[in-house]
Amino acid sequence: MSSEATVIAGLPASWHWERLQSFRLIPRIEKHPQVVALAQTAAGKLALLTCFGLVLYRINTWSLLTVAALGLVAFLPRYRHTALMAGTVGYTAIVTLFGPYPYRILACHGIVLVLGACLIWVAASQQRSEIGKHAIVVLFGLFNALILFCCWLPSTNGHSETAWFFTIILGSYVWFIGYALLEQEPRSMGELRLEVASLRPFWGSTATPFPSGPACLRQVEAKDSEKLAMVQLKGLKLLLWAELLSLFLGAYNWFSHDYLRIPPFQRALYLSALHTPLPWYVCWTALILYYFEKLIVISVWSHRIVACCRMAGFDALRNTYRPLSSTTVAEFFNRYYFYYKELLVYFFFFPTFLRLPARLGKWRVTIGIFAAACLGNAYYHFTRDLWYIQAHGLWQSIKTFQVFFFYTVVLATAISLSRWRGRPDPSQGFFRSTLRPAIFTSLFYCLLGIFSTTDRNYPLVEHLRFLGHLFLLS
Amino acid sequence: MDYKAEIRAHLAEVLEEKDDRTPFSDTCSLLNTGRIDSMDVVDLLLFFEKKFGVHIGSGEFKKGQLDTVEAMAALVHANLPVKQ
Repeated sequence: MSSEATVIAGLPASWHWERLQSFRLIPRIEKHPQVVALAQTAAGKLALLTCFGLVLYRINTWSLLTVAALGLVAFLPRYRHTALMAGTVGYTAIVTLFGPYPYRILACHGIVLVLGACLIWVAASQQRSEIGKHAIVVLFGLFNALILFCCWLPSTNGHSETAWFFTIILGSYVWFIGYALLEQEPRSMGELRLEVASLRPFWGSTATPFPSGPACLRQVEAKDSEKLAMVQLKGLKLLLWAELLSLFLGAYNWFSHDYLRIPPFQRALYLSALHTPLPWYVCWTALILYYFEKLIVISVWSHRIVACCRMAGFDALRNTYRPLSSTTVAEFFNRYYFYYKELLVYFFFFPTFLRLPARLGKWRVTIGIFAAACLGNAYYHFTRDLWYIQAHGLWQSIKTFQVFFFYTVVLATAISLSRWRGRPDPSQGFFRSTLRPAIFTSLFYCLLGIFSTTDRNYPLVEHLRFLGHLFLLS
Repeated sequence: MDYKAEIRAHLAEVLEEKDDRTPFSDTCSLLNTGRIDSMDVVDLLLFFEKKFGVHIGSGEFKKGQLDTVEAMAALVHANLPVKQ
């Protein structure tokens, strides 16, 4: 419709576009004063918690523990940090007690938590001591030494299994403790409850902390009851959005794999490795479907974690936010897995970048990107899968890590080039400045997805063979 | 030199590139609220070096020091080269 026509109809020209932009599938309930006021009352809190709990319970029964911890936070706002700490420690203890080797693993958790709390306390109160000054180096030095010790210990040794248990559990905490040490301000022991609460918090996480450590938690914490209610409403909204995406994912997988009978990417790769590849166009289709599936999967689980974190009273940013709108490789990396990118930046990029002399100019950025996206990325994933090292040994683990290491080298190179080129010029119009770069960025990550695996099922040459097959190169 | 004004102007450009035209005060949180990200921080550090001649060395920089215009100006001020 032309602008004249809309004016004639009595509406401003941009009316439809504005309506479309402001449309929300889930209404912005946190903007309604009456809803916010209700969410601050005891009945409102209970209703909010019940709705949240019912949605979470649909996902898994352990989430009842999360809801119990959230209830403590909601009804004891004055003791929120203590409630958070109790929630985190209690959740870990109860889940462990119902798993295999409960007492041995619980003891390992306990030792790691005490070790972490001691390091955090030294870093916070003894900042001039040698350990206080280099607490992160001590932490990672100890972790790496333990990995080497476990690899050296013969598996027939009776203590080998316990040593691996301890190292694997320390590995699951190491980035959380690292964050608590990274931005430590002088604090007394009593003020460190949030630090302990942030060590694998009850609202969930991967090996990557969600959000980026206790310093970030303090910044985004709701400071009064009104803000708390708004943040919790945002949490409920995000959880509902995650569930809608989850339903969509089910339909997407049914339609693509069951109805259209397009094989999953893993199957296409497997057949290619057997030298009986599927037709190139089927491989392309499988790869593209796999790319979108990964985007939806990461959105679903990370939205659930951030939703629980918001329910706990922290206005954390989303982990995945409109990745398809990225116009550069660097931007996509930021939008796809925000908290992991933050981890790489703060543990690897900045320490490298800030140590390099200023005369290197922009080359410092490139070196920093390689330190983070290549070496840091590889180190994170290598030490994340310690069970693999335990089962196959150090040398075999290094040898089979070639595919992921190749991925990190390509990724770092692409991010560096993307940083050098900068963002597309908006004056070039929508197609050249937005649509085309967004398509190329997606295409790049789609192809890179062939290598972004830590499965270690095939050597690099098989992944390259699959890539070649896509372009009719055999 | 009015560091805050220079930083404010630069930040406005950075935010405008992201289609973010919401006004911000000197105490408004930018990094922790996601309006700027860690890669923008890198550009900011390079901008400080070019514009004010300051080099932020390792151990002197914390995330909170780049959250607001006020904190950024304080960081620049604390790292100014000593004149002979």
